[in-house]
Amino acid sequence: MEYLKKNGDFEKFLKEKAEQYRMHPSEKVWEGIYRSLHRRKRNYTYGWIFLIVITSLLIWRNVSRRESFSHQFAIRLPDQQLHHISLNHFSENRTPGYSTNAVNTKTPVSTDDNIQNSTIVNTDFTRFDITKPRTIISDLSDAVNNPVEESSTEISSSVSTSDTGVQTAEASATFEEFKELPALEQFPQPEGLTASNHYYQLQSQTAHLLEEKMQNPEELHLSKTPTETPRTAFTEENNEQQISEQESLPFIPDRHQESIQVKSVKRAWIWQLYFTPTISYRTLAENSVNAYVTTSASMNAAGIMPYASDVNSMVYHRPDMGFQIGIKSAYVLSEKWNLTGGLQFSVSKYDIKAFQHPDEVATITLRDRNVSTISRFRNTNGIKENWLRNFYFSAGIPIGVEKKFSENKKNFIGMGASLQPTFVIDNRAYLISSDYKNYAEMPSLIRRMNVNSSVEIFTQQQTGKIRWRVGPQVRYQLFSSFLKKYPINEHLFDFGIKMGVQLNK
Amino acid sequence: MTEEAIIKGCIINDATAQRELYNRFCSKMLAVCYRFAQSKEDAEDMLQEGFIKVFSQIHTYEGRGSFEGWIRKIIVHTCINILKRNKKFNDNLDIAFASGVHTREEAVPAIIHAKQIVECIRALPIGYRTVLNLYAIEGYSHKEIAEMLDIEESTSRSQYTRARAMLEEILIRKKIIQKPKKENWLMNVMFR
Repeated sequence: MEYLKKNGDFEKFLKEKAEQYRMHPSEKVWEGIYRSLHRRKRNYTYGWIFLIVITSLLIWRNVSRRESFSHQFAIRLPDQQLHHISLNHFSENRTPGYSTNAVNTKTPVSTDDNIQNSTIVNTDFTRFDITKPRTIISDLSDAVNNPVEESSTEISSSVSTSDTGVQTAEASATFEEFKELPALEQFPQPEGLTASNHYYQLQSQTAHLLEEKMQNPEELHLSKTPTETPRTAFTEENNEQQISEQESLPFIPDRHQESIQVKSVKRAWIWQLYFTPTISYRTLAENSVNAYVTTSASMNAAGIMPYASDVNSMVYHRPDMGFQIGIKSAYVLSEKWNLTGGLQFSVSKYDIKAFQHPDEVATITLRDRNVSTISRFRNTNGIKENWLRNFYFSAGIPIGVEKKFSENKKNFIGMGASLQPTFVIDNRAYLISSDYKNYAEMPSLIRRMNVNSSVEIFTQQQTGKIRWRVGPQVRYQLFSSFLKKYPINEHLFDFGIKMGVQLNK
Repeated sequence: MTEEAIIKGCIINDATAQRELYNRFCSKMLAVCYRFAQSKEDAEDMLQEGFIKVFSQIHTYEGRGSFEGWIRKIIVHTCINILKRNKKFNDNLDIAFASGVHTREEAVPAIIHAKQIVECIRALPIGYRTVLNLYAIEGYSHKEIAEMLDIEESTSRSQYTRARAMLEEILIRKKIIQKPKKENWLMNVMFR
């Protein structure tokens, strides 16, 4: 009992005692302060994530456009060359009529029999109805004779001009029909058109390649969308002008020969967007024998009970729902093997059974020292039962392989595996104290960088234009969630159903 | 980390420095808040708001006086501002005399714990408690208290006098302190 001699002693006594008093705030106070101070910084983080996603989508769009363009089966020739050939064939008998383009354009132009023999005009494969055993020649005749028909003609013979000023002659037919066409080599070479020698070489090569490829029709990737460009009409009035223009043609560079794309181009990249609802769980184990011995010694020195029994028998935890979302790119190595990479965000959650309790000190013994913190949760008994939700929000870069079990490109079953370097962006993990008495948060003991492994089996199907895949997936965290100095290892499991959509066709 | 490094880190919004500063002062400052607050949750709210002010105004600290004193001043002002938002607090400030503070006679341990003293202070009505905290513990003058609480200086004095008497009574009843013995003037004259 304090004895206060004078009046002034009372204030001194109060101040002294009040200053001695200490209280420990809960972690949520700091979390609130941190959130308030670093709100702008966090927004930047989300901004970066948004930027990455947008960039990925743009890359995908560009890649898919390039692929669809390369799939066109087309013979690309310079504008002037086509004019040369056409004019050469028209030179003998020019009568007013309709060009083969007249099917669509209804433009009156010169016509003669050579039009039918000329295979330099476009023939769109995709419009050709193979159920009707008609030859190109007869169809072309129909087209010439019935210029007003707009959509009935399956064959469109067209010379289209692309934006780049290169005319595209697209030819299409089955192999049998193709053989009915006159041999390109037999075309008379136009006189005085030295620049077009390349074109005739081109034609010969094309014809041979076409013959070869037609024997294996599956290799031909035919365009479903013919080039929507204005068509060139050869009118009697402008023929003379065109001839004079063509006589001053520049030499055709060799690169135009490279524009013949007859072979099938395999898809180099496949982009997928996926979402995986998961159930997360964890396994616990002692770190190692050495760690245990060291830990026990230091704990005894500190007067704390060592981890005397199996940690799994001392804690009660249950799985919880999480999810993964990401974008994946697959590089086609062969018909059955793909190399995959991407970006994935994961949320893994599980719950620990605990009891609320007034604040008390919880000590966690590390290899080299003890750390203490204030805990409000007990493991076994307390005021009120509670489930502590633990979660890890992480970003990963899954790199792996996929194998298809079928040669069917649209519908197949496959298997994939990946390794995922992972960075923990945010977490709330409760660690058990050394005496198994309390749970406490110790963010400094959480491992930020980790590696996960993943195995999945999936089936890919095509429904309409959408290629989607679904299948079970297991993900396992290879390193402990905690740093090595914490004597308990925690490994996370995620079981989920992965659902993905292929972004490019 | 030195105090100077922490301050510099906090000025550039470095989370590590902020955490270090928080760790150093949070327990002491929570005790300050607790003396003003109704509950621990309220005290934590006060602490949170106070520290946010500390971090956002740390660039104004010019190094005059102790850094802890500067933080404490912000925390106390935050507590007062929060209390002033509370209607109950404002009503209590006008009470001339609060009666009915009942404490039980309890067995008091030989060692006086600071916690017991603080709890006794918290047993006072909120108006008394605030004035007592500000005057006796935080060291503000009655004039300053009057300005902070928007009351008359005389009211602050009277509140304090009553608060002190009440607290003494509680402490004596709890056998934490003894009453000062009355000096015998005759004995003093005779034996001086």
